[in-house]
Amino acid sequence: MDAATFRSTFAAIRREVQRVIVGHEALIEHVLVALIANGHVLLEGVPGIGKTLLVKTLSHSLDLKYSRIQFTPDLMPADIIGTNVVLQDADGRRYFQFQRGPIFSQIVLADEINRATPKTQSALLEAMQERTVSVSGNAYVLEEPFLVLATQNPIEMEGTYPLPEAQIDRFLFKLKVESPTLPELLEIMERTSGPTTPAAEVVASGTTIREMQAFAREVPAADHVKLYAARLVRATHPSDGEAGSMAKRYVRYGSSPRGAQALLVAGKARALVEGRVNVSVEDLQALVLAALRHRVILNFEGEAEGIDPDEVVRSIVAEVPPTPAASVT
Amino acid sequence: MEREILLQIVEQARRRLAARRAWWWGGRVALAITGAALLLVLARTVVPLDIPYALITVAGLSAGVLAALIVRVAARPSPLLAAQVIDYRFDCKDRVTTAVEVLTGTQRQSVLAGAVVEDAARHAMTLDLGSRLPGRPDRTAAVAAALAVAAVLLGHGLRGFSLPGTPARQVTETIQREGRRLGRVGQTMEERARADRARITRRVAPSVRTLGQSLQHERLDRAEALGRISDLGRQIEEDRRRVQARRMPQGGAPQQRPSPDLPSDLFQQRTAVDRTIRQIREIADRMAQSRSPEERSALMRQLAALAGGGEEGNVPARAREQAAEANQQLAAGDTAGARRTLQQTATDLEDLRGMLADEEGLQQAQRDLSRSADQIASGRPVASNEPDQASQARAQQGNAAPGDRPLSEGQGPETAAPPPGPNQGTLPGQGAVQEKLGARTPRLEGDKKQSRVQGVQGDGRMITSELLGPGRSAQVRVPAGPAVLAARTDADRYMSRMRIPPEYREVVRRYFEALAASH
Repeated sequence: MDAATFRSTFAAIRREVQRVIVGHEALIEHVLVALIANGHVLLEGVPGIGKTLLVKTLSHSLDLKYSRIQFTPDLMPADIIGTNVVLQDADGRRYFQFQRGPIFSQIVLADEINRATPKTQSALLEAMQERTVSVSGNAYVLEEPFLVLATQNPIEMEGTYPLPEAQIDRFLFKLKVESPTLPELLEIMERTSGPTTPAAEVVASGTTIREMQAFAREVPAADHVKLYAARLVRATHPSDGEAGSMAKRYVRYGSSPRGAQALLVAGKARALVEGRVNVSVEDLQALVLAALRHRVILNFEGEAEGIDPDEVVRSIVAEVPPTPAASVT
Repeated sequence: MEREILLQIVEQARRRLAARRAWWWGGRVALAITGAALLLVLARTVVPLDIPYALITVAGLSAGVLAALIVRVAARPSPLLAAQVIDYRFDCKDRVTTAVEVLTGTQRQSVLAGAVVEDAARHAMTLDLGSRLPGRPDRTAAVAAALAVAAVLLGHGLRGFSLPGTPARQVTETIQREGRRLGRVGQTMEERARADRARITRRVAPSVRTLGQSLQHERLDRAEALGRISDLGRQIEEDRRRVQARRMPQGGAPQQRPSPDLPSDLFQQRTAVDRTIRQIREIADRMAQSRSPEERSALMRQLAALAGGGEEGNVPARAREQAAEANQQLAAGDTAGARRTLQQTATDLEDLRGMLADEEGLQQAQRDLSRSADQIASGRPVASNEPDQASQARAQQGNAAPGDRPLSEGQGPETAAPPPGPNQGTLPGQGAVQEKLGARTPRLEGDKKQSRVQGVQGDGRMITSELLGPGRSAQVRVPAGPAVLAARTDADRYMSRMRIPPEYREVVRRYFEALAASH
């Protein structure tokens, strides 16, 4: 794997996804970056704007196992990770056999994840972080690459269970899926009203994705870039000396170290996508909203005033100087 | 290859950055100091500030250059900082910084290390460092230079200028007022020097008058005015020392540098010399007419008294020696020789008197200059009718020198100086009017008792002597009898009408009674 191959492969996957998905260029790129960064994505948006289709199209363009879990209030953890069932062999002896659940895929669509109970939501914790599933004392390793793409509806909050902080922190990105613009809507109508609908073709295998993931990890980042990522994360903490002004007022808890990790790892992937072999401050600034918005927990005042965590993150970006060179000369 | 190219470009950036930082710091240091100098120049129109703005301006520029040199040498940026600046200024997306860290081993080893360096070098080669990282002086240095020029030009243009109603205007008015005063002092000094035949003083007087005119009419600030006064003061001090050095061999006590507050005894010495001259000339005149042994012995007694220092002991040493010599010549019957000796003594004493007058006049000039300097330095606003307190005080002490006389009402500061006289500005002996002294007045023989007039402001210190004894016969121009009677009648009349101090009343009465008794 080299940088050129990486770029061409990435472009091919993006092209295939965009054959089906109209618009959402930034969203598609962020999802693919998360895939390369080996991170999970939480997609938030109103129903019917292509969240599920995006994930399905992505799975179709990659030669990866795909499963979809529709989260409902009565969904049980075993419905996700699988369960031991009693089987009987030819001799009539009975035995337990683990029946794998839908989590045992490489691309998992957790649709409307906030409709399941916290107990069921927590069933994803180990899989998302450790890439393993433990059942009855046995640990099952998930096949790489493993990507959880969860969706949630931000408006129909009745009967939903907001994701616990511990789980939401496992997502590399939280991406907001916006409604299509007028030209995009016209294009969607054009593509889906004909006798055939476009479909994505497989352009990359799981092995290729794993190679791309490993290659992205090799991208170096300058010290001041890493320092910038760390300072951005520290600035989300209201008690920190370098906290942003909005963070001090509206934030209860800032980002965990996973935020900084997410920024740097995703930045490396984005750098390669942008044709560079080094991480830039610009990469971090492009990804900071997706990486930190779900890690900033607002306090009561922030909730009461309807503060969007995006505003807090933007203010932090505006207040934290990116490089010491800005103050030179 | 790419490695060398990249490091070379970073090194170029380092040099440019070092130069830029040096100019940045130097420019700001110079800007701060020259800006302060300009503000001081402007502030001088309001507040009397004796600040060498030109020196400050030059110092500011020098400090800027020095700061630039120090920063250039001591604060050279690191290659990493230079790389960051390249990335920042040329939007290289941190390529160069990352590559430098890879090359310096700061970064963890990566399979992409070579690609990082190659990518950075490829981008760096396309950069024109001079376009966004110029090594030439920035705008601050130019502004500092402009401020320096403005400070010097404005300082020169606004020299002596002050806004009305401000403390600076008070100083300006004080300078002009002292200029008028010094102008009058110079004129008075010249007139007095002409009368006293004080050649050096007469030569110096125009300088004092010129200084006064320059203080009046030129726009001078306080420092410059004080400087000019000081220069003239030094010149006068040198002249005074020369006069004193010339005078010392002829006798008399040396005078230290005059104090503006202490009266000088030069006037007393000059009066004594005057008296001695008159006595010697009288003796010489009488010597020509004396025939009898009694008259000769009387003359010898007088010469002996002079050789002994006179009644007050203030006859100069040289004159004593010459009086003793004349006495010996007279005793030996060499009357002509004795007269020549006495005439030579009188000539020498005339010179001594001139030198004393010079020294006295120069001291007075120094006092006047010192007073003006004090006034200008204090910048104290003085009302136009405020009297000269120091001079008045000295006058009231009864020992005021001639130049210390306070100005009369007609000579107030606002009064225009009188027109120059025919000899004004000329050297002694070159004027249009030849100076002449009146005929000498023969003195009476007899014991003298000194007394001093107190409390009346007049021409300086006055010393009167009460003479008791017979008058000496001499050439008279009016008949003695009627003159004495008329004088006695007039004296009685005036003594009854005028306010005469009691002790003088008795002196005058006895004088005229003695005259009447002798006739």
